[in-house]
Amino acid sequence: MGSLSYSAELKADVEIREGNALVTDHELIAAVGQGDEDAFRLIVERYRNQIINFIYKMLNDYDRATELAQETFLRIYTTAHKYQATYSFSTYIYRIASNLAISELRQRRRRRWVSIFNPFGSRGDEEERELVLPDNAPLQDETLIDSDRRKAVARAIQSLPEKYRLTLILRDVEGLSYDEIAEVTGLSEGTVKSRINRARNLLRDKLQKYI
Amino acid sequence: MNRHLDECRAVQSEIDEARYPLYPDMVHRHCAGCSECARYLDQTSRLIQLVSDYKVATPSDFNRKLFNRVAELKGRRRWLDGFMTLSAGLRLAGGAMATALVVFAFYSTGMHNWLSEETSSPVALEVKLPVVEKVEKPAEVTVTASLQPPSESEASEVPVTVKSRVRRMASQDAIFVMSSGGQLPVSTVVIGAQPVVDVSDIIKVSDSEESLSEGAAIF
Repeated sequence: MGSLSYSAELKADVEIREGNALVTDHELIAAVGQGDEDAFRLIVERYRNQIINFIYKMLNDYDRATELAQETFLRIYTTAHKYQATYSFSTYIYRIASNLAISELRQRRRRRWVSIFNPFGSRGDEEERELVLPDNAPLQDETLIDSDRRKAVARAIQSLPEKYRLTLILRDVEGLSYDEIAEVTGLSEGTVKSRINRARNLLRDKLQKYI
Repeated sequence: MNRHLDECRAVQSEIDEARYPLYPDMVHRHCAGCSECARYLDQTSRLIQLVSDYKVATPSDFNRKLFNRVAELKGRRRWLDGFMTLSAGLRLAGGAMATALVVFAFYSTGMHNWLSEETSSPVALEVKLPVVEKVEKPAEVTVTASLQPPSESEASEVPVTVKSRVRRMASQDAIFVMSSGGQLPVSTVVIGAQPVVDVSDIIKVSDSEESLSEGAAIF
């Protein structure tokens, strides 16, 4: 009950604020830096879906994706006073989210189980053998539950090496431009393009049946 | 044939770089007459569509949880700010006490005399006093000297008075004086109200106190 009234209040607030069409991301973040919580709510409303989806596609773990999305917004909140509007705000928020997602993937890799029968494993396919804990939580989007195609796409994306996965998701899912991806990842545009091409070619092979 | 292949390569590169589904007209024109590029366009479009379709919704309690965490964070920050203010106050008080101690030590040991204008010269003289002329420690010594600049042509004697304290050395009392640049011919030395007649030795320490040598100072 409490959450319903909170949600209604939040929606009303967001609508009032969004009535002001001139509120840009930079203005909002500047207001957050001054301690304006309403401005922070607006930023959350604008970016939460994108950030959750982005992290979910990186991790294939819905609960962890929502936790890390919250962590992303908390970092935005705590560092808003230091924010400098050199790049677009979307680049900034994706950079925080991608750093969190990559760090999570690396922690998982460190936790990889070692088989007692093959304690040394094979060193050649490290990127493809990341430990992905089973995600049994029901997805919110009912239309995608139990879809073979969705599972196949998720598996295919998860099988991509981390560096290809990140650039592919930023481009083909989040729709960022090459220069924005270069800013988020800290790579050159040429490297970004070649990684996206490589990722698409790998996916094309894996999802041949569905395309 | 080669020209066609080059064109295909250029078109496929356009397909790779364009933002789906906004492909340039040249891509569509070329694909209308090239089955291979048309297939490439079709596959790329389907692939991007497949990947981008796969989306999840935001949980309904996302904002509530997030703002609870923000509230917790603010509470922690308030506590931390209080702690930091307190510790900053303590640090400030400690700093003030340390400064006061340094200042006290500086003045109580007479070190401030060496930093006064009269003692800031690169010329240093040590005037050794005869044993018989021993004086009580707190007595003030006045050395009257005239200043000669290093260059003879610019020489203009300016009498200066420097003040120092008698230092009790192991074997002999001595006055150590410093004054402004150039040579420092000493004309009189007065300790308290008593002029010192027999000064056994005057040593010019050095311009930069690097070495001791027999002084150019004249008594």
